[in-house]
Amino acid sequence: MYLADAFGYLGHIATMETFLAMLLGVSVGLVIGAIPGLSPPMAIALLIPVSFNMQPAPALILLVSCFAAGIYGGSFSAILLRAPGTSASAASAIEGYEMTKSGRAVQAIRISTFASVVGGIVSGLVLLLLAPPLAQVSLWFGPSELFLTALLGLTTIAAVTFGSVTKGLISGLFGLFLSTFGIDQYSSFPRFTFDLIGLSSGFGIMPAIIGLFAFAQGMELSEGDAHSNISGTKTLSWNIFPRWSEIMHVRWSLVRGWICGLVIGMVPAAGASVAQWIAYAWEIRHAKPGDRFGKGEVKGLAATEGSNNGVTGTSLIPMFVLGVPGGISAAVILGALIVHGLQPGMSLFTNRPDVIYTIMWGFIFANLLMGFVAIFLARAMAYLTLFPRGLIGPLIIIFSIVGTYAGGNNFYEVWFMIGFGVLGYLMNKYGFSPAGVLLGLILGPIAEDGLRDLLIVSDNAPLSFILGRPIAVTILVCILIALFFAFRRRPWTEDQDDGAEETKD
Amino acid sequence: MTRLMGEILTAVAMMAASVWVISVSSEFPAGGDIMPLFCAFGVIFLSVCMLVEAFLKKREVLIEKISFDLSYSYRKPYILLVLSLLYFGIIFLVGYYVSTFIFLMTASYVIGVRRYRFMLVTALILLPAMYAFFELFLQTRLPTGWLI
Repeated sequence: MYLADAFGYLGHIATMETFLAMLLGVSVGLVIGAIPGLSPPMAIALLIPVSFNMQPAPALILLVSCFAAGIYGGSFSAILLRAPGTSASAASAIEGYEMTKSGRAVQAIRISTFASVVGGIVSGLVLLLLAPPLAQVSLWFGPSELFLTALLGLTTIAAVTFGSVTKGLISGLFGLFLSTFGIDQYSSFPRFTFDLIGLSSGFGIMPAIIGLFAFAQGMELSEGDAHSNISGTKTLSWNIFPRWSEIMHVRWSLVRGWICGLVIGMVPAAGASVAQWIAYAWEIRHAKPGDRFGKGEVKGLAATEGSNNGVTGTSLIPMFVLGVPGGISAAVILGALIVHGLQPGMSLFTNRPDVIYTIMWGFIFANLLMGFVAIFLARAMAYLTLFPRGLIGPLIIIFSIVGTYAGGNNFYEVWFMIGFGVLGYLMNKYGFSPAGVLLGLILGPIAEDGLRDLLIVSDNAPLSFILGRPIAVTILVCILIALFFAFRRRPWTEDQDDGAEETKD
Repeated sequence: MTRLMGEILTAVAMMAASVWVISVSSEFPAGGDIMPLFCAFGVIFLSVCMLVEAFLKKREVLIEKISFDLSYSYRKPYILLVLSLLYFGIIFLVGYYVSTFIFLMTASYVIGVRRYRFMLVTALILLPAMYAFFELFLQTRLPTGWLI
């Protein structure tokens, strides 16, 4: 009955209004997502007034299309310039930019596009077919599960660190520590604010991402020959569609990334920012001798890109079925849903099935449309890699400063962003991990809130409480497995070192 | 300075910072000290690990000198940083468009770009494009000052 209902509304998306809504949502999402500082929630909020004059279904399709494209758009700048547009694409900057540096920018873009488009479509199908039963999974996540999910995310720091694992973990703890700055929401006590008003709300994620990656990259590009370009080539390939052999080479990486995205998407507050790191760490654990993780490994990029768009559909499930938004973007879409007179919950599926199923179908087709728009837009953006480094460096810095200011209209955030930029530059130079700091900063509030709530609900006996909850025990086992693999010797890195020595000889 | 001395100084500095965090966070009420303490003790533990790792390295690595390259190429990122600070400092005085034009030209020149026509064309495309995107499309007010 449910499936018959779902497929019965497929024809409702075949209207010009729906197509134009998808096209506008995808275009705005891609452009805003690609600019560091401007986030998908901002793009969605920007389109809400536009949606007022539309019917509810196309209006919501406009917003969910923008959400999916915004997450993917951040990958353009991450891959081409190592300046992630969103927190969901920070992990893609590692392998993607290394591929760009070795003249494989267009290959990185086409794999990223394929992974994102198919990930988004699979996620949309899960949303369409399994939304009501899967929404119950979100309700099983209490403080213990949230705390352990954050811990699982933190274990990925050890796995995604290239070089000294100790320095990677120190970077992660430093990020966790930075996440405690600001007014404590439990006691309203100021922590490490040094009486500065700008620090009372702590460090935002966006200034940290822009600083640690984009601003630091601007500084790094100023080194060396100013007239050389990033990619080291003078021409770009026009081969924008992935080859079958390329897809087969990364097929299991894609599957792992999509699974990771689909599952993490249903975890409240986790989202694409967490899923990509877990997917990346998972992928590194499957590395074989010959793989070149950290030096432009396409499998790593496929996993991170598959996971961040795999999140998009499933993260909407709790919002549509329970009225509980899993993240900021979902919260903005929830607001728009209510503005259009739709009440989220199971009643939405029984009272307005025409609208909800049309939105879900629209989301799936928007991901397909995103692929076509993105591949041409990304191809045009790839020309940036042919610009002289001496000009790209200052341009990235201008976008970092203006993007941070425009994103929050907050003077302090720009200073913090510059501070993070210097930190990121120095960390890169001295073997620490800027990605670890970012991961700590993202997971810190989830881990801390989860732990403090856990201590309250368990009456200060967290371990016995955790052992009585099957999902918590499962996540705990995953953490132990992750730690085992993180500290195990990595034969593939030894292979790389040997290769390097052989080259020297 | 040798690499070993560099690693020792880094580890000691991180331990000292952690001790400061422990002393400050002990005043936080309602469990607000849990996460800072976890981080501080974690860093102390990892700093000790880092020291042990450093001493276990091969002798030739330990006595390797850390050279501080003071060439112009090495200083360029720091010069760009100073220019960025000045750029953000004057953006509210002279306005976004003038300060961005000056910054782009000066920074590119200082870094070593000598393709003046290319720099000028980039600036002439960038500034109207940013006006159209931020001010017209996003309705964001870019900083204004005495000029534009």
